[in-house]
Amino acid sequence: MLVEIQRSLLPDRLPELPGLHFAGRYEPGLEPRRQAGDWYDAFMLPTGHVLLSVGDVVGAGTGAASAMRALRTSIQLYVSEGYTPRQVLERLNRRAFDDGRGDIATMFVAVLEPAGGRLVFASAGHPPPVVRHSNGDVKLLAALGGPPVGATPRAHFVEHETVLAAGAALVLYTNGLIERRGEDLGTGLERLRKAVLAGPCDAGALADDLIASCDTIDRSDDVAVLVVTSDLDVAPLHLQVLAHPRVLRSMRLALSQWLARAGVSESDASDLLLAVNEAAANAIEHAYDPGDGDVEFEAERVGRFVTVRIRDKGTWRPARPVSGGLGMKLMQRLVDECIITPGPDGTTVELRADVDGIGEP
Amino acid sequence: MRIAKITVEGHDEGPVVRVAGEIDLSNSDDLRNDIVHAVPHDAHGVVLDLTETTYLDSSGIRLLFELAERLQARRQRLVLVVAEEALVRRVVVLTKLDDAVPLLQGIDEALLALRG
Repeated sequence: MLVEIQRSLLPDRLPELPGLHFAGRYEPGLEPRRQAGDWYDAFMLPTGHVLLSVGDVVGAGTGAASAMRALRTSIQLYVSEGYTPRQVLERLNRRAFDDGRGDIATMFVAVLEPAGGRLVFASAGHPPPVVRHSNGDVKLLAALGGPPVGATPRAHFVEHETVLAAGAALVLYTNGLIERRGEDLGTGLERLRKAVLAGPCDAGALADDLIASCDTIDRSDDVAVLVVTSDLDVAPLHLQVLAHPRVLRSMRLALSQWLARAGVSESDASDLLLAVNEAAANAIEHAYDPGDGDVEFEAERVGRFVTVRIRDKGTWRPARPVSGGLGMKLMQRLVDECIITPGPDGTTVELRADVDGIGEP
Repeated sequence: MRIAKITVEGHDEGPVVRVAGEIDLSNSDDLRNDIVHAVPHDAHGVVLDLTETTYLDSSGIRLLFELAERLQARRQRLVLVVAEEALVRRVVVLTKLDDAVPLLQGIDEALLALRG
């Protein structure tokens, strides 16, 4: 019953914005007494910005659940009225002592500007969020915060600013995710950092992974997780080169630079480079008489998929593929999808790879 | 601009030929000829050191298969030295070249393998 109340107090629908993805998860603890104080929230503000919050009310039972609902709603109201994250925490803290309920809660409150990714935030005794950048770097957003809300009337809260860049993932969570009996917090944080590093690009899949990574046997506390991902914003690559073997290397250089900008891991990039080179080499060897035409390349990234098209205006001759079929087989093994479309005006080879899982070996 | 450089080091068993740089369609034929010419007729074979080869595609694999065949016709062996984590190793394994040509991690090991 308690769990149902808890789940119904969490947002039904998270915002949907171009280029941003939100995924929230809640898991009750196994000890009935310690449930019902955690929340996550992602809330669209009248300004077009997004309020993000995550928190943990100390205490248990229906008291904690209703305190949690009151806090979450108050945060939404205060931020909607224009108060900054630091001011929100100050107000909540004052109110905690004014109304004498004695509720204490840790929380993290942030406002995200979708255009540009500016993130303004303040923390009240809450564990540090994790940020994963498009190049695979994973860092804790460990900036100075204040004490838990309701802990002391003289609390001082600090506000900070950062940018959630294109291709980045932000993970907010409550301490149930990182705590294990008999273990220090640093170990749990490191475990979380590693899980984010190895985790998928997709916000929902990452949130599921992180919940699954908690030790369910030992978990007495409830867990809330909120993942926010920002799509990588890299312009497609266009290249047109003379169909000659010497151009292969410069094509590889241009493509590898683009793949790095597109946030593709080294090993995925290496496979794609090999595959594209095979298609290009085939066009160069068989489409035209030597140096007698062009080969065009187009590469784009949409979400977790990179597609590269190699186009020539000659004829594809499957009877004589490069290296006696070796090149074709190699190409097909290196990517997830390979579509060859021969035609009277030339051939297009389309290669598609799922580059999900930044940081995976 | 040459994208690969060959260096040859003589040993009793046979030469160690090191290819530094990239092997692709633009240079694979030339490289094959250069390597064949570097192997004396009385050598047990050749150790091809690919630890400094930063790129190898199917034309490079074709070069290696053809090289192995030509050497076999002269009763000579081809042995490859490839780094553990390299792109070259990945391509060699994916194309199953390592079924036909031994892949080793060190020069000394490779020279021993030449003796048979």
